[in-house]
Amino acid sequence: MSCEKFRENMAAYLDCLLSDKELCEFQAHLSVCKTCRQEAEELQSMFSWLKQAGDVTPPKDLRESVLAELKLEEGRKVRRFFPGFSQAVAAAVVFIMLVVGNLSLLPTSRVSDAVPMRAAYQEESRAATPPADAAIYTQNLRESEQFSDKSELSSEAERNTSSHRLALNLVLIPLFLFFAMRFQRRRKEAD
Amino acid sequence: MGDFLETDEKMLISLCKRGDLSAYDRLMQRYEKKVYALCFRMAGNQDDAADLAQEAFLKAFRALPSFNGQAQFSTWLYRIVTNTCLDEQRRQARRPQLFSLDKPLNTEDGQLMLTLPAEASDPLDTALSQETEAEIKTLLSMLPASQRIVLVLRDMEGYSYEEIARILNLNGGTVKSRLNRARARLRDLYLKKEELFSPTVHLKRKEGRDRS
Repeated sequence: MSCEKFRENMAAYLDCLLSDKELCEFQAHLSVCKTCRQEAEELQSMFSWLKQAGDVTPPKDLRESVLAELKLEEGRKVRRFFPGFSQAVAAAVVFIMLVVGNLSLLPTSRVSDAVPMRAAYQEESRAATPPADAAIYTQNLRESEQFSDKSELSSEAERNTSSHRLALNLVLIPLFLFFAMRFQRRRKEAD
Repeated sequence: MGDFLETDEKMLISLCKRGDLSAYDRLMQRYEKKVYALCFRMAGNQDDAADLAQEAFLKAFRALPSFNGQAQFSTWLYRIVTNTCLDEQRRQARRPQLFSLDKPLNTEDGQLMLTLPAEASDPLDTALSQETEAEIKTLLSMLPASQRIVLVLRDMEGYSYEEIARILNLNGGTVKSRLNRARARLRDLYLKKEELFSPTVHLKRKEGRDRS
């Protein structure tokens, strides 16, 4: 057996994995080759040195820190299961702002919407009302006068709120559309 | 008993796949010692070892849904651990070396081991075993990572050749030849260790005397 071939079997020899036949050959070589014998001895002595390595104990908080990190990730996972999650949230927020904004500007604006309608109704009823309905007609007229009084008083404020509303819608509607489109694109990407 | 543990483990794994963290805690409990030991032998210090072990356990949990039970869970897990360790070695090799207290410092006059004063007053035997421990760490760190991992798995953690082959995704012949090379290399270092360590031993003793 050549020294080279011998070295190939060194690991198996040291780990007691050689077959009986191989072991016989190996030991025969050991008895004649001083270099290889020395090498085997040195390796053995290295092993006993290596065996002195003590046990290692994992830090107490190892599992805890893994679990803490995994809990954190769980929150983020929602997004993985629901692609476009953040876009959907953004679109929803803008939508809510749109609704709330318009509603909060509504009470005065309802009046301004109602004025032209009143006027039209007045015209209509003036033309078509028979004399028998005169009482109702005057009542209607009085009502509409009251309305127009009120609307004159608040016309300045009305113009303000309607321009606010216009600005609000001009900003928020494109923003909403933007997020909605991004959401749709993200969903498409995920499929 | 073994059967019971195995079915219990399968149950734990399927619970983990559904995201049950307390099941994963129990699973980790079974393997943390071996996982950490492997990381410690590869990293050479406790802080890095803890980081590596944590990273490996995180990766394993994330990858669990793709674990199909074809391989043994332990083998699958150790593969993740060894890959994590080897990736880290590669990353460190690319990064400029930081000055570390745990690793020998290469100077023109040879290697210098930096030691901080021990925390407690050491009885002689623990001092000796600590010295051996430090030697082992240092010499191991001088092996190339691909050789070190085989040697650590076989000679320190006692895995069989077949297990090592499965963990590292190598064939049996490669494991054997790599182990041969690793052992020969470590033996060379071991024979030279007096030489490698003597200057620092003097330094340590001198310092110790000055302080006391």
